Amino acid sequence: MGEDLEAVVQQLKELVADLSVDWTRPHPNRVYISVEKQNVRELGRIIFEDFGARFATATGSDVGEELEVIYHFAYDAVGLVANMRVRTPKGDPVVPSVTPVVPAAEWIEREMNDLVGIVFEGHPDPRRLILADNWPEGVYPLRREHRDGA
Amino acid sequence: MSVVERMKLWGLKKSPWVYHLNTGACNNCDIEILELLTPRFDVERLGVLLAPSPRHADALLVTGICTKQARPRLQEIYRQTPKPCLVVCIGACACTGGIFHDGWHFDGPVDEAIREVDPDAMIIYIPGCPPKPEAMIATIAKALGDL
Repeated sequence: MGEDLEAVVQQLKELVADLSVDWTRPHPNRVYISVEKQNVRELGRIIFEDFGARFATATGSDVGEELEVIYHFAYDAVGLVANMRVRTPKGDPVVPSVTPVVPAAEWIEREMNDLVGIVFEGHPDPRRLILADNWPEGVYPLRREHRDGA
Repeated sequence: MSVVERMKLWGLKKSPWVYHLNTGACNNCDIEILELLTPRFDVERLGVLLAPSPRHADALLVTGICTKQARPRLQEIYRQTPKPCLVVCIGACACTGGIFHDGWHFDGPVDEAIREVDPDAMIIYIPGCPPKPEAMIATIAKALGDL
């Protein structure tokens, strides 16, 4: 009790100001923080350690020409959800892993690697997680081309 | 039918031991199966007992679509089950594939995977999403009566 949403958002905004390239707040309880991919791990560390938000999950999606990863952090004291958003072109689907600083991201990054084909550089254990053992390498079921070809 | 076969069938009908197998269900059908086994419906009073291993079972309760990863395991478990045995496809997914019929992880309905191993397998279907426990009891009773 006692923490003020506006003060918390302001604090977060100051913490991430140096690294974020875009800040949007479509709803009072939700902020989207876009980041260049070389700064993903540092910004993840700032939100997780310095700001003190809880890592909820991450989502990977195919947005056409690019792949997008959104890490969802929750700050439960005021009900704030902070989303760190990074995009990478399909030709170079490599994003630095945040698992070294946020251990809970390990399995969801492996899952995104399986399903969307995003390679997380620096991941401690990048084995296949949920696809069947006999699933072919290099086929990503949640990519648009897989859906269109099916 | 030989005397031994008749005795096996009598044993199956008298007290079918069931093995519960999830081949990729969302857990909804599994919850309904638990409902069957726990005191509210308590099918143990009718002789239906949950077996810890397919080698002890008379019937396989299969829930969920047959995923690519689960298909060889389902077939192996069917091979391990002593015959005669019943395969009970519980829920829309196990019967037909349901809403996942064009999913990338789907590898044919359960009956297809079983028939690949044994074309004469006894397979019964309980559709529903999930089927009601009453429907499961009624279907299994009807199937045992028809044997």
